[in-house]
Amino acid sequence: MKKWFHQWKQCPPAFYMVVALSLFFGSQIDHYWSWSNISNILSQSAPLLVLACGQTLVVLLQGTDLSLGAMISFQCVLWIYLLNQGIPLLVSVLLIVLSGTVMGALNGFLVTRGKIMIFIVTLATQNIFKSAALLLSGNQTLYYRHDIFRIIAKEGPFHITWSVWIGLLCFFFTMLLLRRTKFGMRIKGLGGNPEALTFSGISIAKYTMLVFVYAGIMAAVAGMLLCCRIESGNSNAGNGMEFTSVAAVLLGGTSLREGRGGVEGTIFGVLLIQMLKSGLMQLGVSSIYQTAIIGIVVLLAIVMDTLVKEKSGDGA
Amino acid sequence: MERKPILEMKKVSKQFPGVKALDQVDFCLYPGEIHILAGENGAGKSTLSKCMLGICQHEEGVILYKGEKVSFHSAGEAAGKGIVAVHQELSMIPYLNVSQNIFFGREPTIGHSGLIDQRKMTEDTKLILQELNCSDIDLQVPVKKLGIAEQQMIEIAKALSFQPQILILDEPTSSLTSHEIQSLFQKLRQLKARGVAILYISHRMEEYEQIGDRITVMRDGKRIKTVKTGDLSEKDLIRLIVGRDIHEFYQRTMVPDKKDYLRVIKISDKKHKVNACSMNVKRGEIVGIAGLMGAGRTELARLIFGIDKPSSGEVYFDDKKVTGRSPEYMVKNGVGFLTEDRKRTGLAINASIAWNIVAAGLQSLFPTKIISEKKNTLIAGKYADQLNIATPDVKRSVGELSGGNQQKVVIAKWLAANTKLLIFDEPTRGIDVGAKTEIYKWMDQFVSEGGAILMISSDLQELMGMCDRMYVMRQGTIAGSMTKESYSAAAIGQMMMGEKEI
Repeated sequence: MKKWFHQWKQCPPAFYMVVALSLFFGSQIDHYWSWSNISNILSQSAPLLVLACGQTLVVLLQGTDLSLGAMISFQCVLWIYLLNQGIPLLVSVLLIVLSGTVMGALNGFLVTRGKIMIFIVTLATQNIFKSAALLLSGNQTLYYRHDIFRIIAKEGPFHITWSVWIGLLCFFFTMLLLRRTKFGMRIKGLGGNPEALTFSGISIAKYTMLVFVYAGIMAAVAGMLLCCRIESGNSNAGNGMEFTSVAAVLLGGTSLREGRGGVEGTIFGVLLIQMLKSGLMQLGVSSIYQTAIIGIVVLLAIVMDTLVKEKSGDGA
Repeated sequence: MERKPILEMKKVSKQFPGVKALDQVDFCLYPGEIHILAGENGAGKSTLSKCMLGICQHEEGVILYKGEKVSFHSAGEAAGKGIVAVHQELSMIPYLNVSQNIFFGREPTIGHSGLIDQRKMTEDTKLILQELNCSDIDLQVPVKKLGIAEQQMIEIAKALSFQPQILILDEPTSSLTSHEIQSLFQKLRQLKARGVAILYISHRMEEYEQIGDRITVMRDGKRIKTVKTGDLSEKDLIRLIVGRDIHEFYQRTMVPDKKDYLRVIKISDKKHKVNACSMNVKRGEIVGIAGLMGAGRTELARLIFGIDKPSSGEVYFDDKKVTGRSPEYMVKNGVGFLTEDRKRTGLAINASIAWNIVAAGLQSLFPTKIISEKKNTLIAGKYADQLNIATPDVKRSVGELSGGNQQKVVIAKWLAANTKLLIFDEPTRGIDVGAKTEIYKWMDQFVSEGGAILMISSDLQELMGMCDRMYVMRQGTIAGSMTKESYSAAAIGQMMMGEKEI
């Protein structure tokens, strides 16, 4: 009991806001609690959830991977392109995952070997990936018809789409990774006290590298999920997702300092952002205001979190 | 001793940019002994231990471990062979719990699943902590939520969990209470009986006889002497450590004024780190503040200087009450603050020496508000000469200077700002002996010319040598004060710890 209460107190700001928002939208919008609406919100959240899982690891390293949005766009375009070339589905999926690995490794290489700040490296590679996506698509939307898109995005057991199941799988896998494996311990160590790794004779570069590769693979999966939803490849598909993913991670209570947090909170951050987006749209709020409102909510949640932490003497 | 040494160093040297950290050091460590390594900051104690551990690699000489030549490349490798250290800087990871920290880097897994066996880790941790008499530590919370002393005990528990054959302890007691120190010492004696060799690095002389078998004194990267504890008087030991007589080391000419220059009455801060502290400083006086880490010394200094706002209390300056203090106001009124972390808060480390020197006194030095490069260099040159700053050109970056010379630049900065009262936080931390004497000499000169110094230090010898009066802080309050005639390390230590006996 005490333990549960303790964990309750540790809940990220996003958790309370998700509860509050669902009550608010529920009272304002007809059929908000209908299964189709809930399923729709979950489906829309899936790509962001997968991306944010990778982003959580980077934030734990006290960085933000700004290249993830462009990476998603690229992978989205690349997948359709590969399928159009007649490459079998399974092979194409493996190739996409491989491309995510390579792109993540490039970021990791520049950060560890080049000794450049994460923020700067990913700001630069973002532009490179973006160009690659444009080049490959010829600045046009690519199409390909395949049942798999519809199956993943629209069908699945228990009226929950396959994309949500895949998203949850990535989520639980990342959670297990962070909480119960050596890899997870190293990441918390990297964010909290890198010297401790040196004293234990553990390579900082190796684990930094792995984090970026992991983020790259998550971006590849997220890219394919997004592709299934929009059934096309477009070099703008992932625009802005690097920022929404960082926002989701921060809303989830993961701190840019000291290796505090984890993916448990991130899922609420993702839900909060997606609920806001769809709820505001259903209320008929112009998309011009939507972005601003999301920005304000992010700020609010983080200020709230800092205030609570200061009060409980947890340090900001 | 007939037994064979477990570790032997022969003519080991290590060069860091600008300093010879280890200079042809011969050193022997026997199984079943507690060997104390004494010396000032920068004498090479930590470097010596880091070479044993493979965190640094020595450039010349050989290290023999159990008769074999070794050269470890990482601390993990050394730990695997049974050489383990508890470091001065804590190696705790803030958001992992106790057992995750203790087993960091070698977590037990469930079969080949790759999953960590949390249950086994918790159980083993309980056993280790029981042995250290501190089983009341909460194992589930992140270590960040634990106190410094608890973290230190976990650090020690972590080292012991390696079943070391050589245990290196670098200032392990700096944040422990006397009760915890005693249980640590008890544990060390047990290990010693089991044949573990312990290298114990400490500044606390009172611990040497309590726990040590032999003492090796280091100075300026050289091994000066190795003796049995008790063979040397404390005075002789200090002479060996410092390299000269303590009398000429600390020079003081006493000419204190009658009137209070600074008077602080019952000042407290909001977070209760400082609680109703009162003190006064006269012109011509050096007043010290002693206390353990976290006793609130720096916090008090920040309150007086106006960096943090007090929740209550008053400050009088020349008998005038000062309200609405801010650092700007204090600097204008002749108060300077030399912070403990000169690289971060005392200097603009990449800027030139000249720029740093005029930084605090811009308003009075350049009344026209236009800074002339020529005048700047001229002023800086004057202070560089006066303080004997070793540089060919004041236009060079301050980061290129040694610690001692950097500290002189900070002093020059406050002199140029026409400072009358200096708050001096850890004046000689990380500074070699030569520069130390110069800084002491300058401090004496500064107060004899009508200035005043309020000095915070963790070095008791330094406080006792330099200060005319001393306040001792404990847990945010002034635990007591004493004048030069009544100084004794034991009495001050008791006040810092807040216990009747140690």
